[in-house]
Amino acid sequence: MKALILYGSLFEHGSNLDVYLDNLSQRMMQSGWGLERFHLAEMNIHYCCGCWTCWWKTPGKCVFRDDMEKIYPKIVTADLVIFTAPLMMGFVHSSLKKTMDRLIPLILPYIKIYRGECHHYLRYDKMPEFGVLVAKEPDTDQEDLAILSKSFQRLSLNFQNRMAFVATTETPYEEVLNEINHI
Amino acid sequence: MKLTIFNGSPRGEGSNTKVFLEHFLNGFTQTPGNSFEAHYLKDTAEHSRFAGIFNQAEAVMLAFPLYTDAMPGIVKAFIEELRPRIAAVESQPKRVLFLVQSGFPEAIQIEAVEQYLIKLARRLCCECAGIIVKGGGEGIQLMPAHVTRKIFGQFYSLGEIFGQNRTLDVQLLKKIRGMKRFPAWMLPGVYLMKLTGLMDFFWNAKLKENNAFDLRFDRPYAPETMKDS
Repeated sequence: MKALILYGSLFEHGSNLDVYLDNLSQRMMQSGWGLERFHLAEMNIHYCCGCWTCWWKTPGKCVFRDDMEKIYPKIVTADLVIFTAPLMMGFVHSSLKKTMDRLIPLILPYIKIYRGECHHYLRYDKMPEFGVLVAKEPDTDQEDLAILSKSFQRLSLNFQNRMAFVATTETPYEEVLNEINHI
Repeated sequence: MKLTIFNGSPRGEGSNTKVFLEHFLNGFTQTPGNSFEAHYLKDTAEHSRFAGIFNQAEAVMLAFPLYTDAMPGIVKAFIEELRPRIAAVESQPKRVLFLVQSGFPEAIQIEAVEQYLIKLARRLCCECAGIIVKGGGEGIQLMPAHVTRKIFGQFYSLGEIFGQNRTLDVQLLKKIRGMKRFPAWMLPGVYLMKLTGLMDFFWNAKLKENNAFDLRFDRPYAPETMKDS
């Protein structure tokens, strides 16, 4: 089983999230997971410019041939993608959000009705499951976490996969591992 | 009143977001003394300066398209730029309003970010004047005039009323918002087949225009493709 960790943080090594991620990774490896971690803020990743090149000029390929090219092949072969970042102003850091925007080449422009709503057909046979791990801000409350969770549940609906977990660095490791080991 | 617009579309001046804004602003400026200025968040190098402008503004409108179920990355980066300035914002509370438009026709696709924006206004110690939610925005620049006339008229009236009394008309907001989800009777129906068929036709025409129709299902990053190349 392979997991990909998309880590969007500007913080230096040793933050709560860093420590949590290290401990979680160690436990996952003990359960037989292969892991790969990308530090998005240190990579050359352009913002999506909304040009639709990936849908109607070079289907499946973004107009920007940047470090996302290292990430795409890993996503389509992974069993789990963990989106992880500190919360900033109530949502995941922009280095992660811009990477999420760049997932569009993985779906087709065509629309179908999925669970009663409009969603895109997938370009690849299946998408890995998703997980979300965030570090709270000092003012993060239950409402912020509910909004975050709702937003990522929608993302998962659009990629027609399962959202395995939405966790913070305060979630017990066992809870997250339990969900991961269901995959 | 002077309204300071931050257009968060990565397409900037060519965006659908701008099209909707234009009609809103045409109505808004009908009231003598009303004016606006617009800034484009796609100029990410200017975010710090824009944050300063946000701080000084009397009333602000943040407008953007839905990107992967939330705000586009450039908008999130701009919001982060506002963080160190919250204390300063507090000293002069201002009105903020938002416009979120999405290619999907149903409002439910926008609800999560809508809740985020209501909370964001509180976070910025601003008074939220409302959120304009508009589905079905992709292709607005290609739709025939008789279809867009009604939609643009609603945006004009919304802007006109906001220009007069600084509030967004609830009835108009509801009309622009449209349906939350498709009603159950519609799901197996001809209407949706027509809708998706029409969208397929649009994408196929664009693919053919670019000689890419045969490649439309390409999987450049599938392991078997990677092996071949």
